Amino acid sequence: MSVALTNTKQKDALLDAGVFSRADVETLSARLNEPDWLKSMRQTAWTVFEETPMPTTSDEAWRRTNIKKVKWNKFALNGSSSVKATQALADLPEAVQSALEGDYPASGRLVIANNQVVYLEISEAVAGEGVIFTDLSTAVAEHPELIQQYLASEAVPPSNSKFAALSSALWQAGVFLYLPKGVEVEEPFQVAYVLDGPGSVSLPRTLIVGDQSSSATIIEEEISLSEHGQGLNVGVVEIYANADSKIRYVEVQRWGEDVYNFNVKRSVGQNDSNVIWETGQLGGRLTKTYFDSLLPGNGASMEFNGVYFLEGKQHLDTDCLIRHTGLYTNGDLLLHGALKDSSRSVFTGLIKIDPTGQQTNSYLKNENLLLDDTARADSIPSLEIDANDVRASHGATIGKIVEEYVFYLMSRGIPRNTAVRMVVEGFFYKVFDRMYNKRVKEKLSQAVSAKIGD
Amino acid sequence: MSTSLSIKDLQVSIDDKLILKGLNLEVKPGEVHAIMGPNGSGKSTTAYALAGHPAYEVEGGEVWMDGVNLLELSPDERAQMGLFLCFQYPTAIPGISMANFLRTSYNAVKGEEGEDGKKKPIPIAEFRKKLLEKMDLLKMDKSFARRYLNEGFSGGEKKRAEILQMTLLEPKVAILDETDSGLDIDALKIVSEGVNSMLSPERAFIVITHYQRILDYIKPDYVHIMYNGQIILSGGPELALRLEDEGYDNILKSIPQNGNGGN
Repeated sequence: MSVALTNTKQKDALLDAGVFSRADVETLSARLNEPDWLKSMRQTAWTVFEETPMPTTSDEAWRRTNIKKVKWNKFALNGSSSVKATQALADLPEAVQSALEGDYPASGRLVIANNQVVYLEISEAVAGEGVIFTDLSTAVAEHPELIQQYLASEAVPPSNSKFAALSSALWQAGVFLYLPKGVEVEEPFQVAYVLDGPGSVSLPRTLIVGDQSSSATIIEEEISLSEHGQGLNVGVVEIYANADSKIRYVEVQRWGEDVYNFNVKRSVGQNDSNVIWETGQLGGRLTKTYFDSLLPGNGASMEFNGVYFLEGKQHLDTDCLIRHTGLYTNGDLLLHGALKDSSRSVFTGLIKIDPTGQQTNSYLKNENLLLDDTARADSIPSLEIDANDVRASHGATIGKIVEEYVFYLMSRGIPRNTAVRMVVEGFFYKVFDRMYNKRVKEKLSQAVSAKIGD
Repeated sequence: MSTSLSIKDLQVSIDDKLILKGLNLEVKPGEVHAIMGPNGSGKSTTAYALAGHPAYEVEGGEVWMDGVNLLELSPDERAQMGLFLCFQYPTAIPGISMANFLRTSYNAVKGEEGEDGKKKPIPIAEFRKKLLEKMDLLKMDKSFARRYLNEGFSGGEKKRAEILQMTLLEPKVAILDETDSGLDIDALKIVSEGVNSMLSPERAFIVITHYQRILDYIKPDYVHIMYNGQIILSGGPELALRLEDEGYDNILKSIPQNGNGGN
């Protein structure tokens, strides 16, 4: 048996492709005229990025998601966008306007296209209460103390992972939402991230800080203006829910069909806080997204209502962690997905209860509906419990459409294609019916219905 | 007088096992036929085969309705023709609201064809009014329409929901498959009233039942006894009473083997 020689320095396809470099970090800081603390933060993160090996299928979390064949050199930073900055919603491309739901009231709207802020508004009433809703670079200039305190700190530091380090080093544009103590915002904040043109790279960063007893909903929609153009998105979302606050984070992911999409989204919930994730994963060629909910505070809770619908060769890897560190913490996660053609989904869900997490209640479930024989789903829920007075359960199902359901509907005169559509929609309504925001529910149910087709 | 449904020498198997071995039955508009028989005689198989359940393989025979051989139609086409099966065990489907289901079904069966050949849906308000009327008749709570289709329904609620669908779809031929099973006497009365309110010279009923009880409420014109995949004896309402007195065994002994009833 021969033994292969290995280099001490591992090959790093992403680094070697030259899409990103330390020089880019420096140029970016200079262009944005960033303060020294941020410059040095980016530099440190770049070093972490260089030193962290690319994930491979030998890593447990990436075992079913192979990124070896991604042609990184097809992507280029700073690709220009056709979307011009404007102060009128009506000037934005139709797809963007539709994402922002201009007909409905919103507390604020922000559009970032290929890392450029092209539209920003905030309701005067909401701003008057001390709420900050702006792009992250503006926030760095205007509220440096808040950004320094929270950005890439407890939730997603560069050490989190390869892609988190890249985000910390090279995030280009992003969102900052700050809710002062006791302020409850009724209407949602709406954000659109746009990829425009082939080979475009998006490096968004969302930072949400809810101070004591505040509440708000933020809806982020991700879209591609060109359906087929390859794109790369590396994003990070950090949610800091301070005591008794309530943050709802909604993601509607509708990237074009050739977008490679890597995200780390994490919340940190303090005492009696409540973080609600609502997600619809519909687009993208290959996605790996972490949704991690840390519950260090006593009485902190989280809820997750998610759906995905995949077709063609789409690959979606969703990795969820509910970590119970505080007393009396609550977790409740439900994720339903349907798969057509030769698409594939991977779900890894872990409920982790620390020794301090007594009297915790946690539930996690993933259900999959395979609409074609060639589709495949892997679902790996697990528990890691180090406390003795807790309730935790998990479940996973992978199944085909139940023919008995279809027959029953057909026996009532409903044609087969309509019957199948109703059964698939019904499968998703188990999740939609848990969603809080009617608009989000409608948006996602319409998007799912459109994907079911005939 | 024309026939509503004409079953000729119907043979049906499940999992390669022949269950119906030459069923014959003529049903005319306005008639109520009861099919009785011991367990395993093929009663429910008859119901499922007529509705077009894919697991029931038709090996031979014909079923005519309005000049069309039903066996050549898909289950939805049969329903659109005016055939309705009230299931013994209605399927519960998660996530589909009763209201949405009922309206979709109503539009598929009753919707009038527009000029483009597509069925025009009934306006939502109009449908809602109609639905509430029918629910009232069956003493159903308004919240029922918001629930998921049959999910978490009690046995009685499921049967009532079936009858509700029947009253909405106004079929030409309705088959009730052991609708009385699992119903207490009050529910049975309500369900029977629902059926009786539908009796009309244009409509035919086939009531499949194991027991005579439901026939106290829904009066049959004809009673057929089914055994080993065939109708072996037919008669008037008195046959059901005789069956109740003598039991299946005695009646079966009294008739020649391989006897074939029907008309």
